[in-house]
Amino acid sequence: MRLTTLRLQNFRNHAESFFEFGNNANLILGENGQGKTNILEAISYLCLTKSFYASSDAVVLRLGTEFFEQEGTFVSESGNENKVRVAYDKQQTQKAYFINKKSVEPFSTVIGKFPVVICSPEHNPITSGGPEERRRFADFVISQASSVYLKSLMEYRRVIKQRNKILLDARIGNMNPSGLLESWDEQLLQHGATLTHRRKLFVDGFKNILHSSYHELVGSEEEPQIEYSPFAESFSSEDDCRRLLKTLLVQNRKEELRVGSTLIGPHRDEFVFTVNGLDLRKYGSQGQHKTFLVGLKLGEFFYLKNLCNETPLLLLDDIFSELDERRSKRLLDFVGTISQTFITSTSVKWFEPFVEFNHTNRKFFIKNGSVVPEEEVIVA
Amino acid sequence: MYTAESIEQLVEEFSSLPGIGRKSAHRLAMHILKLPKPDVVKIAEALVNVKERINYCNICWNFTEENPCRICSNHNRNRSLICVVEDPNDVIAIEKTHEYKGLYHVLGDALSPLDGIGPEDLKIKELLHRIEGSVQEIILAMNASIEGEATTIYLSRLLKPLGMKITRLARGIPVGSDLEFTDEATLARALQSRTEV
Ligand SMILES: Nc1ncnc2c1ncn2[C@@H]1O[C@H](COP(=O)(O)OP(=O)(O)O)[C@@H](O)[C@H]1O
Ligand SMILES: [Mg+2]
Ligand SMILES: [Zn+2]
Repeated sequence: MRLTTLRLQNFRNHAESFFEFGNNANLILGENGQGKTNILEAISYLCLTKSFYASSDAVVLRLGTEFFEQEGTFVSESGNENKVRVAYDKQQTQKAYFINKKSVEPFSTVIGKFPVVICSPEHNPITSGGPEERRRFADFVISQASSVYLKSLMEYRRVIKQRNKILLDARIGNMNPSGLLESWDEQLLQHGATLTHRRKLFVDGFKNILHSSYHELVGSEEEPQIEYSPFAESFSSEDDCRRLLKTLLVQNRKEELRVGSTLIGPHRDEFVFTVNGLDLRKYGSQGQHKTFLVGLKLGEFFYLKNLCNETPLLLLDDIFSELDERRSKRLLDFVGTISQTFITSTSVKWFEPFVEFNHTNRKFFIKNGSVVPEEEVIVA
Repeated sequence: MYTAESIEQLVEEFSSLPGIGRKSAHRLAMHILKLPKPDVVKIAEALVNVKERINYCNICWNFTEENPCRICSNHNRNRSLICVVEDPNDVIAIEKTHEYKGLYHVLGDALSPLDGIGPEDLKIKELLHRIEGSVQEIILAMNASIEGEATTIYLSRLLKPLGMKITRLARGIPVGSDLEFTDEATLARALQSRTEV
């Protein structure tokens, strides 16, 4: 899949910008704070209905304006054209998402239609942050490839919230909620087992993909690994997983009542990342963290490419400033050829020696929220 | 602020209704102003009428103008069969099929701790009270939400020991819809609950 055009209006610091992208690499160049990442964020709106990091639609609305809009043209591998438009109006509380002028709802049905992989400094917590960051990463990747997983995840989260409310009320009111609790356990078990089983399958397949993506960047001197550690050591099937979950749930009932929240289930899972057998979170260098993150993101790319019918877009935000020259070169060598890629950078020097600019590889110079001629931008 | 106090008051009343913001409230008020007087009286009367005439049926807790309601007092209906639903709209939906000849029981809502709705907020005691006697089957027809599901499970655990048959609606592909246009989650659930032929 390719994004051939993009139009932004009143989005962040862009009053009105228009792009015709190349089929391979698209370099977005400019000094800090000029509006490069904002362009990737707009692409995120088209693919995922939302920003990959902003907390609300209101914050991306250009200061002092009343509405924003992004419009893009996606061309699928089979040549089908889809015009996507996102519109937000300050007066309305909800934004609207259109595919070929038809409003689409709920937004969750868009996930996976226009697959995208984004790697930005905003994602650093995946390797350095708490377990919830890694769960979110895994959930996001699996959800893009499976709407059944996404549905199960949304229902599971709501079940946990409902169930926690019962536990909390019971703790405060000092009463026994059994009977009520059991009414929610069935769904906890059903979705809990589905999610756990699918996460396990995901990691089993993802290990190899991560391996080869990582090696694309660093050669074979470093061995990356990803281990899934759910509530149970091992289980043979979804049914088996459900049985184990049930046993643990019963065993932990007293403790849950004491604490006032649900203690067992995939909302507590951990994914452990290691390099050469050492826990990345505890022992990894900054360079290893960055390389691992790019490895994960490339892994995500190949995972989605295999499972979706379309090749995802690849958005790389400020990656090249943080990798060493050898790793940057290796990355550049292949990203533009595996998919349509959008790369932001403050410096063109990484790219000039390796990228030949023509109609498939394009450069855009950004200054103060506008696309400007090259001469107006000083890029080292 | 509007210069005329009565317009301001009308806008205020409209915007207190669910789903109506000040903008729409203003639009509605302007519309009312433009209507001929008899039309406005008709609307006002309809509002007062529902409040005066509509009650809950003391047996099934559906809306009704008579007590007990027409369904509960209809002796051609099968009194050994009760279909339990969340709200009166569900009764309307099932009645439209013309296929169901039993009675109903309207719970009023579904269990939702987050919204502060527990079993005591639903007409469950009233249901238990009704079924002492000749009821042979209870159909649980909750919405396909996690709250509806929890309510189904709660009720089935409560009712099973009483000995009558407890059933629930099947989940599957909507009639007349193409497989290829059915959403994946519905399709997956239908696959899970497939039946032998
Ligand atoms: N809602 C907004 N309205 C106007 N300007 C904004 C808004 N949000 C961010 N900006 C501006 O956008 C710029 C940052 O853009 P960004 O794309 O992150 O820069 P970079 O080129 O470094 O990637 C800053 O100058 C910031 O003030
Ligand atoms: Mg940036
Ligand atoms: Zn009745």
